[in-house]
Amino acid sequence: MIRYMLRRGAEMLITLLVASFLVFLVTEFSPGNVARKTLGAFALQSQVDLLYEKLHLNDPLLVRYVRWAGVLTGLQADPLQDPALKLDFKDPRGDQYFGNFGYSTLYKAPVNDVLWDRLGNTALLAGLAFAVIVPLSLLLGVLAGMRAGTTLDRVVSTISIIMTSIPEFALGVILVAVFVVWLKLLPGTSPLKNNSGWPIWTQLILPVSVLALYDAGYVARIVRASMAEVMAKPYVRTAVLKGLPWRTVILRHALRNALIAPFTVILLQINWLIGGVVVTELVFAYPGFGRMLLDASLFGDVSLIEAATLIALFVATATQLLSDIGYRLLDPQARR
Amino acid sequence: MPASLPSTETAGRATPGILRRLPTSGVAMVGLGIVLFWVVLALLAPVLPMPDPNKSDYAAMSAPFSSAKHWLGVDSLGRDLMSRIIWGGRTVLAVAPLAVLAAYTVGCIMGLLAGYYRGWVDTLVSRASDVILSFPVIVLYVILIANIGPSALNIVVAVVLASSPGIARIVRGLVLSLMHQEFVAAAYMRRESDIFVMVIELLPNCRGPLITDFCLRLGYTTITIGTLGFLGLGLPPPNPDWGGMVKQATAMITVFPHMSLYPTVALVSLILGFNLLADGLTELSQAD
Repeated sequence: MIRYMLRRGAEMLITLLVASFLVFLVTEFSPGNVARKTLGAFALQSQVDLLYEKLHLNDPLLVRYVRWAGVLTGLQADPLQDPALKLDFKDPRGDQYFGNFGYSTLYKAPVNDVLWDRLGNTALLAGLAFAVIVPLSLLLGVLAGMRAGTTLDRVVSTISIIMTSIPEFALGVILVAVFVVWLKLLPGTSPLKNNSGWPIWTQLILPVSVLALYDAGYVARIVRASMAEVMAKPYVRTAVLKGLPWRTVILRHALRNALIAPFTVILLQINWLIGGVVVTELVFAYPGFGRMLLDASLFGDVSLIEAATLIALFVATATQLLSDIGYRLLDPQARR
Repeated sequence: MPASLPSTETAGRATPGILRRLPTSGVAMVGLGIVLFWVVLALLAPVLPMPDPNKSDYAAMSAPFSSAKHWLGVDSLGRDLMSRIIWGGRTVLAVAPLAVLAAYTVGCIMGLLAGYYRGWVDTLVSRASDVILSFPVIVLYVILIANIGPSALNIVVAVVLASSPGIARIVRGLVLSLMHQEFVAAAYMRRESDIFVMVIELLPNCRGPLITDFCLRLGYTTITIGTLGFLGLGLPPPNPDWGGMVKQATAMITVFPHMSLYPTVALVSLILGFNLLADGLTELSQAD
């Protein structure tokens, strides 16, 4: 088991490394672009050329990637902070430290000043959504799968397929139309500030609902399928035939086996949630990580895109690793 | 889903195809009906007696709600909403299947090669797939499209990059499970070429699960196209695009909710159609 964990951990690091190169490739493929985007649309061509030269942007992509990785790990000083460039990029942490993501041209601040607050806000949003998704989808999925084919099963299955057919932004629009425009019960934006006339907890209801409803429908379908499959197994029939109470059959025999497959799926929802927050945060003007990534991408803030994507990748691969290890621990058949 | 694979004696020519049994599934037929509804509207768009989707009717702007002239009302620039929705459906229904088909071509090639040759080819394809699949999908789309620019072609490229690894994984698994079958051995005996075995013998036998997955992916891709439009990374204006229409109208949702609700309903109904179709197909294949 330990060896398995180590091997999977090493694989995760390699995946991260290759993926980070891909991100670098996509964002910094054309070097002229990098210099232009760093200086902004109003810089003179001569300034752009000067920066191009100073940053050695005509080096091969791989060389530039290694240099970027060097800055990130603190082995190298960030060339953009060189006072000779007169860019006025100042980072109180210095120009050489571990985790130096560079300087955000959109927010005119070091990436590390911009990133973490927003990530915290998003963690709150995603965490609350997760706290709704797991119990809701488990309950609905188990109830529906327990007696496949009944009215309850039909109702739950129909609702979940409808929920998974509504993209997050569309659900956002529908919920805003109902609860904000029509019923006037909730605020339509969530800036997480107290001076908007709405307490902060009311600002969280709609974004959390959007994230949770879409995903809960999906997970409930998986749980239902897994539960229905287990209920058709001979050992469940045996348990019923030997006269065990229904409760015991479900809780002790069916559930334990039915929840192994959904466990991995539920953890992988974190990967989905990262994408979901990009859309949801845009709909509700939520000051989070997803909207920041979108703004950075639309603006062309190279360092911030790279940093945000790397963090999203780290969270995604880490949950993948956890789900693989958890699956091994839960399922005796996979351990062999 | 090995249960849905044809048994050896009918290998190659499967028992009544899953598509031929489609009419027995009510869910699938409802889904098909919704999809066909949009397909017919999209095909008829040029001949329907509707205003031009990009032409503003300034007289209608003061009261943009539904009227005899504009059945669903007009948008903030006075453009007929029904016309824009139907023309927008044309784009989605052209781009989504095209993108999924392209992704399937690439994914099937990758999966066939990996499952057939195993060894280093398999390792390479699987590792590359792992890397792509470790990206949160929307994040991948956002950084890609923001850097290569929004256009129909680039959306297709992004969909191919993001979904072909998943398809390759499915095809690889199916090929691995088929390699021990007698018809593959028979093809070897006849000294068929590798390409013949892959394309003529193996690929058609993968089709059951792939048809279902294709419908699911059509739904996902429709969601993606809508979402990209909403994020401002969809098709460039003024061409009508459902996601883009919603984005443009959300600022006015408190005053004119119909401007964002109608395109939303259109998008959701099409996705629901694809998903119901996929759901019905899954049920049919599990009934085998």
